Amino acid sequence: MATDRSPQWSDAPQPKKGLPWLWIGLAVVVLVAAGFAVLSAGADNELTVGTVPATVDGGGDGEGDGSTATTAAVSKGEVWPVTITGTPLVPLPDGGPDPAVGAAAPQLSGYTFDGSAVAVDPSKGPVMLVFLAHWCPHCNREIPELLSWKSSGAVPDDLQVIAVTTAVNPDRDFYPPSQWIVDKGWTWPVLADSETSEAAQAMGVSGFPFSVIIGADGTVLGRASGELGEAGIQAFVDAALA
Amino acid sequence: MSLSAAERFFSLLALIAAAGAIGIVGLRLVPAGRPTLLRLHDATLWLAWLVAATAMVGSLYFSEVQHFTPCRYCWFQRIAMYPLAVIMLVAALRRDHAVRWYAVPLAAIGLIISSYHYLIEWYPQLEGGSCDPVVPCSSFWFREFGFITLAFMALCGFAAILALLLLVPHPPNQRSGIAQTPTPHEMEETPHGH
Repeated sequence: MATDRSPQWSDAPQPKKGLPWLWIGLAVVVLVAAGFAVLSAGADNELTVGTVPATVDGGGDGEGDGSTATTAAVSKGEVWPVTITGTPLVPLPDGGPDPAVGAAAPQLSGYTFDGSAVAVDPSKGPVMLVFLAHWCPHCNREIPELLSWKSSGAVPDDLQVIAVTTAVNPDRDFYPPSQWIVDKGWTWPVLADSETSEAAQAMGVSGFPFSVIIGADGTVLGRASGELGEAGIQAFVDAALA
Repeated sequence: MSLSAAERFFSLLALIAAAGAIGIVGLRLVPAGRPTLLRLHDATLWLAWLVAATAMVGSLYFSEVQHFTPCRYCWFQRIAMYPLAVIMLVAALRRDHAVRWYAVPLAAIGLIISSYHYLIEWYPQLEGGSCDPVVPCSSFWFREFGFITLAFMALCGFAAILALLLLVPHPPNQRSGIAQTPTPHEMEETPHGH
């Protein structure tokens, strides 16, 4: 079994002992790569820091404070405390009936990115909460479907749609969510979840995107996890509000 | 080194590994490349170890220093890559080219998993319709130069190791494998002849 079966060429030159040129060449290439990475990434960092603060410092009292151009300052504007009253919903099961349907939904209030208060008030009409994570590819695919659904005119007049940006992670793609949601063309109100995603946990979010429809009486009418597409969204809403 | 610099550095190393794998395939396909590959033979074990060890160090850097939580497929790739870093070192020290009987299956499995992982990063619908709230495999931590992710880096590493172990021919006067290094049992038998 140990016998080599790879091709051999009897007219080939004898192998030389040692390959100093190979190792020297590799070392040079790695050093050049390291140098290029440090220099070019340094330039990228300067560009990023210069473009972030203006969009995320809202609501604070540190206007004009150059020291806020750090990751910690950015996070402060992207996540806000949420107030949750009531019993959290159980996570949505993978299949079968949703045990949370008919149960009282936790009452939720919080803030949008600029610090303005956002209240989830079903008494004015059913509320559809859409939990979105900026780094989630399925959320990025679902948002255009939701916007298309809106532009189709099929959204019930009394339905309040609110996005909840959650699972915020500065290290992941499309951060910060305040800019991401604007870039995606989102036009409904946005509630920024807390740093520990308390709103998502309270609603039993099991995956992203995740939608919850709360009726005017404060009970859960339906929940859905994953991409639905425009037709699926319509069917989900119709079934919940029926 | 900052995180963005590290991402770029390891991305460049992955490109170097990919270039090496492609280069070996190219040299193997043209007759003029065969002498070059033969000269490379003595270094293949060390080069394969270097690729595996670098991949392991990079993997540990992103998970333990930068706290990028590995997803399910990341773990499967780790299971394939980390042992390679150990057994290739032992093989290189012993000049044991028969290691490919053990290393190639690991690298091939890793190559298949990392290829699928990279695929679902571009086509997340292949994995289903929703993201795991904690560590979805279809989401990526970064995409350097618009296409290099951690899964792509692993793919390059496995490809380079496979190319080194499978496509670099042995010189005609060398036998590969454990037979080059006599076992204690063989050493005892040697005085009596075969």
